[in-house]
Amino acid sequence: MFRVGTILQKNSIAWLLLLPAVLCLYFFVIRPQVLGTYWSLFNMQGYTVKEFIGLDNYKRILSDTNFIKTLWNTCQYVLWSLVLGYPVPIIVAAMLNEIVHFRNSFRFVVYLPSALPGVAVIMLWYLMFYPDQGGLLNILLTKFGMEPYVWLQDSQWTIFYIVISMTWNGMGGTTLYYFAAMQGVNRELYEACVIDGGGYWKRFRHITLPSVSGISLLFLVKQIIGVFSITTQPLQMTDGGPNNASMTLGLLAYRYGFVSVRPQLAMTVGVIMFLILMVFTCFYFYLNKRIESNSY
Amino acid sequence: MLLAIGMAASLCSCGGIDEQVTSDGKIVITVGGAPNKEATPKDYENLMEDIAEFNQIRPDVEVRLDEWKYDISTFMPKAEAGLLPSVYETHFTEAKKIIDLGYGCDVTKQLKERGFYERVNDSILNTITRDGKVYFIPKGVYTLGLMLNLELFEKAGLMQEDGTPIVPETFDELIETAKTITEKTGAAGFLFPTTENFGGWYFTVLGWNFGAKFMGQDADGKWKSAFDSDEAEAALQYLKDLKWENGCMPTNTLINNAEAMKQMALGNAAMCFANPSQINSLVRTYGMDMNKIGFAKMPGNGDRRITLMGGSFIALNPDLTEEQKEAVFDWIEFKGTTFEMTDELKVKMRENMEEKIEEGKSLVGVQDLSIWTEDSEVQKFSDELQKEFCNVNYNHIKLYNDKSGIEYQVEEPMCTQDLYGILDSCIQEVLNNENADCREVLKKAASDFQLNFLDYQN
Repeated sequence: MFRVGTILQKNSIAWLLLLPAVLCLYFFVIRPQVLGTYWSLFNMQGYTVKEFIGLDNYKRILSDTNFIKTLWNTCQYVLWSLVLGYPVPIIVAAMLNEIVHFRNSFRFVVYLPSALPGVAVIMLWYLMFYPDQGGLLNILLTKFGMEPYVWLQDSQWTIFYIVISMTWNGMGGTTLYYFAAMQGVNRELYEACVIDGGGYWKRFRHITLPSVSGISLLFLVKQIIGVFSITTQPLQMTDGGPNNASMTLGLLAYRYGFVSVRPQLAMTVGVIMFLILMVFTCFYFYLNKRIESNSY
Repeated sequence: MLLAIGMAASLCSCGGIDEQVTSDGKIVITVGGAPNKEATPKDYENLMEDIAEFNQIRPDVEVRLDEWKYDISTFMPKAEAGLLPSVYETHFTEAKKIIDLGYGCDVTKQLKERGFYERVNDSILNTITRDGKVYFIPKGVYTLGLMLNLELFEKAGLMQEDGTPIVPETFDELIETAKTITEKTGAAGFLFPTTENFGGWYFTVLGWNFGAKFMGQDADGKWKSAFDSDEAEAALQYLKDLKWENGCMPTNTLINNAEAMKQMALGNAAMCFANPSQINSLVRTYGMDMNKIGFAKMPGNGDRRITLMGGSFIALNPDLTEEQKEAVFDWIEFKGTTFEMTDELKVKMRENMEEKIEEGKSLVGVQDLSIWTEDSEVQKFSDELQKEFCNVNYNHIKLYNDKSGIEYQVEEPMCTQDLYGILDSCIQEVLNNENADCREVLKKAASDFQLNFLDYQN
């Protein structure tokens, strides 16, 4: 006790500076997380905890006839985001890195979508994908003599189109990270490569890509974690439809929590998501540690 | 998501403070849904005048304002935090949930003492009564009908000279009317919302007209889903045919209610199910000319013509003291929810109507059911005012006001919102997939409803 007091006294300024962050962490992350997990074991009336029911909420969620489909949908979002959203920022950053003129302007253009409010972006893409002849993409199609297409209402491809809109919105920030990493690469390496007769592809393959491999691994895991909890886009663009084709675990939890007011089930879905994401988070920390140790 | 729900729940558990009496001994009541002083200064001013007038009758009551209006996503946090206003309005559809969650306020004593209890329409009273206790005060009743875009009706040659639209009396006729409109104008003849549970809500009405039942109790009192049936299949097939066989529904099949109103206002659709309160959103939000809006009663099928009865209730905060409840009831009666007519009330109702007309953003003339068992003087006077101040061609709406031959039904009783969500998915499937088998879709939906929801009620 005496030692703790001494430590606190010795580092009082540091503790004081940490206090706001610690309080925020406690109130907005740790407390809700712990309470959510605890209350997922109870029956609730509204937000009032009633009787302890053990794992019944988990049994109910896992035996829900649409749970597996929803889980698979969520995985599809992640898979499509890896196919579409993961390589795009690297490619765009590499292009920015090579551009000599108007680099700042291009950087601004690339970052612009990320600066737009999320809801505005969703509305923008909703109107682009609008399925009748008034939809922006359908106007283009009809200009080329093609039939209008139903876009988001094609249940086979709904998730794919939502992921396109997410990629457009989210890639700006990630691109700038990659770009910063690429800017940090020793220019002499590129010069040596050019002297040896290496073209753009060889420079990219043998210098740029290995230089950003650390950060790209981190973004891979972060992207998986981020996309796995996707809620807003399907909620606003399709409401999980058509016929649950774009339903996600996040949206399922939202519906339980705020539409049918069964917060205990929403928390249960949240805990299940948390457990799945914990695996990725552990992996993320492992990679982070490795990358940090490699950088020294 | 876990964080969001957890935060809402944990913050709510902090509790709130509600002052019951002021330091000088006045009873405090808080009125929800108050107008914003800056956004709607006229409404705010009117309310302040009302409060001043009310204080002449009840000087011992302090009326405070809360701008919060009932909203499905903010209700729970507000209620759990103990911050619900003393009195607020909610919809028929929410009554069961509020009672289930324990936020209903028992007002049986006040309703009986003030003579409301015997006079409220029985079918309405049943929806707000649980174990002999009544939890709400009915404020207004509406029935679902057909909203019409009269500009499209005009273009399709479906208007009589006196301005009466030629509207479908049956669902078969609705197909013909919709086809005619689509052929002659290119707009969708009929529009059916499909998301946010609105599709399911409307589909139950369509289903009832086709003879479908959505749930029932077996001999042991256990709830069973009942829409894996020929009747429900016929109703779903009806929607499917409207889209694929007759081509008179819009291409977009993921439509919420707000989008439906937008499409109606923009002239992209000619008919949809709606309730009269939605008319004002066409005028206020989308600037639609009131004279281009029509309203008709729900079509029927065979011998039956069934529609859904909905409306609004006045709810009280369950934490109110008896004195506060009495003060709230005095306020409610002062504001016009009463069956007893007084000269002051007449003047007040007339003034309100004149203000509405002056503002020019509300369609006046639509009449609906009375919340009372027999026509009260207030209801009669209200109907007279609607006729006197009707600000559109009365023929545009008279087919809705004529309630002959209509049967009224209230919402399905158990896991209602879950049912609507599942039916939304069924509708989306058949409107998106031309080859969908309606019976198979319903079979899976009925099974899902049973396994995922009803079994947990049994």
